[in-house]
Amino acid sequence: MRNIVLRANDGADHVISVAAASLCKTVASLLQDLEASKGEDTDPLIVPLPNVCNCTLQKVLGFCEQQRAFDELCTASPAAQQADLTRQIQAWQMEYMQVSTDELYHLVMAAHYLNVPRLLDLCTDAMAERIRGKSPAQVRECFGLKPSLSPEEEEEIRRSNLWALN
Amino acid sequence: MESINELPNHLVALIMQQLPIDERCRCCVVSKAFNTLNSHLQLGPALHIRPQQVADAHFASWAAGRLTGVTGLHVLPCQSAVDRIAQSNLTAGLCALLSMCGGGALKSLTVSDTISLSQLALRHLPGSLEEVSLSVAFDDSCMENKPHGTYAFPASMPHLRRLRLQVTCMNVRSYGLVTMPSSLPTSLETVWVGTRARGRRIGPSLLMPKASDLPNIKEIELDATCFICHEGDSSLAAFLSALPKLESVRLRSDVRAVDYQSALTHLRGLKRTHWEAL
Repeated sequence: MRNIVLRANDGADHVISVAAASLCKTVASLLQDLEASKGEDTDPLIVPLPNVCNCTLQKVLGFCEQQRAFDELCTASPAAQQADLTRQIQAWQMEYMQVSTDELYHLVMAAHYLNVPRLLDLCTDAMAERIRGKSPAQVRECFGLKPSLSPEEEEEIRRSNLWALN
Repeated sequence: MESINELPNHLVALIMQQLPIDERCRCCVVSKAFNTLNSHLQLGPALHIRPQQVADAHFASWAAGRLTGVTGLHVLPCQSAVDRIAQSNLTAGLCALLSMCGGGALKSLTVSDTISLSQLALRHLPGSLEEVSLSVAFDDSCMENKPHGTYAFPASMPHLRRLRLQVTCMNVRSYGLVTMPSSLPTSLETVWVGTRARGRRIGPSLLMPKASDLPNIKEIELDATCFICHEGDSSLAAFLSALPKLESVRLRSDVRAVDYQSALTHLRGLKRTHWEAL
């Protein structure tokens, strides 16, 4: 089977399995185009990803490889073990999402660009978790946002959202 | 550090979708971008709201124009005694919200049975509803079953198929008899009615509707001390036998009142019959 190499924007290469690559819909689509143009060639297929840095790509690929392994386990395991497996997956995902807000920002962008739906769900959920229960000032602090509303604008917005801000 | 503000709007929208509506609204004062995104927030299709929101006039005015896509409205239980809200405020708030769910989109209404509404809520149910689950409590007036009384469904609810109704009598002085609301929609296929009494050791009995009021009923489940039938039906067995599409009956009643087990065993052609003691 032909090797697949994903090339990050700094030139770093990562060899990945076809099954894991198929979880990235953008890569899967690029692969189809590349295979069609290269025919029976046995050289590795190199997929350039100019929008993803090496560090983030490594993290995304870690997700894809692990999810592929979990998918295989789910298919092979009897129904009685599925609940236990689901708990294992959730625990792994929780550990995987222990990243800084900056890393999470890059991860959500990469998950979107590479079109990995399950990772995108996980990332948006993690982002939402960082907003949940926080005051507007705490949300600003968490995401490094500077106040962009004038006092008058803020007052107006507060008036129309009183029920949530009281 | 990169900022969440630099994420494309549709990604921020995906993040916001994971949050409950009060958290989203609070985010409006975080930044201009967050405000732009959340100020056009439309609610639904499933909307879960807390009792405090139902009774909050600020919430109602904010929700106006945002409810047209709501197909399922769920009022969550009170989280603590501090959350308890006057029945009249809750009922008025819910009626106001229901009136804003125009356009025939609302199919399902579920109010936690820990919340007791006034019987007035029934009259304000939108005609588009297919499924209703709520609890009403009223003060020694559960016999108020008149065609144009307050304890009645709206004149037209042609789609209502499933009803779950908990009726609680408070301070019952007389016989502790409750009725079904009047103007029962004839489209009903599944009905559960439970009765309770506050301030009385023995729960109320249930005055059954006429069999002709329920021409499409398939499943019926009733909880009451005992079941009183109209003259034409004379007994519970006669009432149940007169329901042409009935498939399943489940009764819970006071074992000291009437033995319904034998009445159910004589019913023919039903898929399921079950009786148990309250």
